[in-house]
Amino acid sequence: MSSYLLRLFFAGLALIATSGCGQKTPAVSASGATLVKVRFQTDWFPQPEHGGYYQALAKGYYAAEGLDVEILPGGPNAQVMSSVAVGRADLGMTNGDDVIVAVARGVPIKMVAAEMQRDAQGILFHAEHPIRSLQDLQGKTIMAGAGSAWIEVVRQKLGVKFNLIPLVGDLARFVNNPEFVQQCFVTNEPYFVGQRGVPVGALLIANDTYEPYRVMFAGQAFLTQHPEVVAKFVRASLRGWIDYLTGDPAPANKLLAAKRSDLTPEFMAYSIKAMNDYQLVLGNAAKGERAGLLTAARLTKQIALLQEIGVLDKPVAVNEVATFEFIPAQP
Amino acid sequence: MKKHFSVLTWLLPAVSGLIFIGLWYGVRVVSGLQSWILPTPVEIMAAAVHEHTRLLAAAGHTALGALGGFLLAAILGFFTSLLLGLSKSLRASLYPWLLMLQMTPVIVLTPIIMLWAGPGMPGIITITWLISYFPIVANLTQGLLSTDMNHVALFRMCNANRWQEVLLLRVPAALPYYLAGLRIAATLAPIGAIFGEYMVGNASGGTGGLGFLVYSYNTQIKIPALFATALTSCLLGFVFVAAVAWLNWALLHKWHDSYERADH
Amino acid sequence: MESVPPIVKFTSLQKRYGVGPVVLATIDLTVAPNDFISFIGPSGCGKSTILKLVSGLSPGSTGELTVMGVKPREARDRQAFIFQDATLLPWLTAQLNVEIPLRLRGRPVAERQTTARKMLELVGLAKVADYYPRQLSGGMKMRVSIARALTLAPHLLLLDEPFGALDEMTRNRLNEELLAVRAVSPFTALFVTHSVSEAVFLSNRIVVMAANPGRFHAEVAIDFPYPRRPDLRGQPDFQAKVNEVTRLLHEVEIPPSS
Repeated sequence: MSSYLLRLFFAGLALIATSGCGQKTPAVSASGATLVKVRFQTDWFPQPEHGGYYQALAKGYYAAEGLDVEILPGGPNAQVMSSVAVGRADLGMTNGDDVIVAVARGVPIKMVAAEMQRDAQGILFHAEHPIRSLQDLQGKTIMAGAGSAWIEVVRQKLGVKFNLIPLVGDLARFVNNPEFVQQCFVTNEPYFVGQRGVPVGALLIANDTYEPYRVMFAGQAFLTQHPEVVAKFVRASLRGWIDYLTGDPAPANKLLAAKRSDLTPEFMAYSIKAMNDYQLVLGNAAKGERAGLLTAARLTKQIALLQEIGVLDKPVAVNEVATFEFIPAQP
Repeated sequence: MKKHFSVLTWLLPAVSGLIFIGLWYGVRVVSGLQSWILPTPVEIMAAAVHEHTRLLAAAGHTALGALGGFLLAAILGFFTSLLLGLSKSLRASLYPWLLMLQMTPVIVLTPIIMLWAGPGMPGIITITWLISYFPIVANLTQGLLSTDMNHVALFRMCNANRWQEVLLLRVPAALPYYLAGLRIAATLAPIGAIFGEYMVGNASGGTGGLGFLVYSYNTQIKIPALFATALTSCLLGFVFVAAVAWLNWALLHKWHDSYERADH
Repeated sequence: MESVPPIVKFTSLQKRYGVGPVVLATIDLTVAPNDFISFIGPSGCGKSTILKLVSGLSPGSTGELTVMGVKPREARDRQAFIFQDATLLPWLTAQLNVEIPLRLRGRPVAERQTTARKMLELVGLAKVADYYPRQLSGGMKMRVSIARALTLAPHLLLLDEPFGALDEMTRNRLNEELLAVRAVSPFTALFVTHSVSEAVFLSNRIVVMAANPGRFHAEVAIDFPYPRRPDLRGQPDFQAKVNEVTRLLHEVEIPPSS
């Protein structure tokens, strides 16, 4: 089959895929008004790190704004940004760094709010291991994702030298070797290792030098055509997040458990506690952070840093990567 | 003699299997490894029983993806081979491109498949299709080109037109080749679907497939359950191969030399 | 009788493949209705090529060839070919194999079935109609092949060493059956063989051919009347004809230089 026919075939499949999950008949709210359909692409299989959105869905926050939100599950190679850029989804969530790099490469997307004030990536180590800060990684060997920006930051900005082995996601190796150090999500792996009776510690990678957001972003076209929908989505999502982390998370957890039978209540409780302990979503009020807040100053600093370490190959302006009009005012 | 042989065909694998399981236990005892590094067969069976709801649901999900990709490959493969087998110029112009596509590791195409076909089932089916498509095309094309020249002459003598030659002669004559291609595809399709779930799955519909369980159990360090997943995948593969073997038998046993003559 | 048009007429026909060696040198032959002509000769003498030319599977190079007054391809409806092996389609039963020529001509199912059944009865195979080819012996397969060739009641039957792979007893029996079938359903035959006694038993004319290039060496008339009985083979006249043909064959098989 020629590449043309192949492309045609893929286009057909894509059409089936998009028509299948996209153009459904408009839903109707309790008040009888027609709801606006919004497709929101997440970056992984459903998990508590998406809890705020599911809470907003479960508690009707989206419906109250007149939105019929469909949360599209992600997975390995989810390509959230491409999905939104090609219009298979209207909005998505991912790491802020990735959005900056994508925008610089011409992908038509824009950040509209923060999801987490800092990324949940961390360093996982055995409790007996002497690591307590990123400087302690000097001379060590770490299993980590080779492309991660934080590696270059730690190497170049903090002057810490260490060896890398590729991340294959096999915790058994970690559990078996007290010397083993690896990348993790502070909301995730520490729980499962702890389950095996191994005392562990986790160190958040985000620090004053390198502090990437996790963000909600929208496709440029969607943003231009439906700014009011974006505003409503951001408002309801943040309401969902605050409720999920400070109120009763049961409604979202119930939805999550229905989508993934392997999510136990204990694990979800652990993830929520970690998100609170590390002030990931709600932020550190003492530093002026709050849920959803994106600041031009921090993004500017982040862009400069990414450029400095060579991740970003050409400069990009803050107002190209983000718009601040949807961020709710100080409560 | 024949009876003796059939007893051996059961006995020998049973003995080697028992020896293997014995060695397995031996290694476990001597090495002192924990269950989450090297689970024993009993622990794996226990995990399989404990997780059977999830494993069955996942196997069903994977079977769906595998079947979708397999059928797509069987149908598209059939028509591609017809084009390739019946027109020399089409064969000359398309075969190099097909080979190029075949030489490209699917893992490299994964992001593109993700982008074009989308995550979840469409992507999984596309990957399964890609993996199982080529053996079918290669075999059937070969089959269509291997028609007995005397049969062709017979048809020409009867003034058969091109369509009659294809439908009544070349296609039935190539049937054993097609089925051989399908047999290879049947072993590849479940592997392709699991690989697809592992690469582009999104666990939509409330249950992921076996590829998703690999992620899930691995993250949770449920190693016996991981082995049970491998076992389930293996069983699913057997079901696929058995189904095609049955189809093969049903279509060929009456006339093809690969099956023993009933009257001898 | 002189005015009866010939079934096949070769006029100065020559055959070569491209610019390769000449396969058949100038051939002249007139086949009359109801002739049974055997072609016999060393390998490479082009005897199978003659059948290919007549069937239109292969065109002549120079000269002229007409079959029943027209070009070979146009006469296909009135001729049939029996190959060296039985060329049965292995996925079809004997019955369905015999139906093939009718099926390819789009005849209705009922006609196909009755005709094929009749043909199988003619060759004595009605009871194995539902057998697949691999369940049949070599002789039975060849009988099915003959039945298939006769379904359209051809005027001309081309046989390319049809019994070459069979043991002598089976071959003799099939020779007798072929003549018996011919008595019921008459046809003109061009028959290629390696067996002198087979040729003498079946034919009214035998063409002995020589190789390099393929050409006619001699023609022998066999005027035993039809129907011929099996005991013909034991008679001195028969043996004399076999000896004559064998001698002619020796002439062409021994290279003149040695």
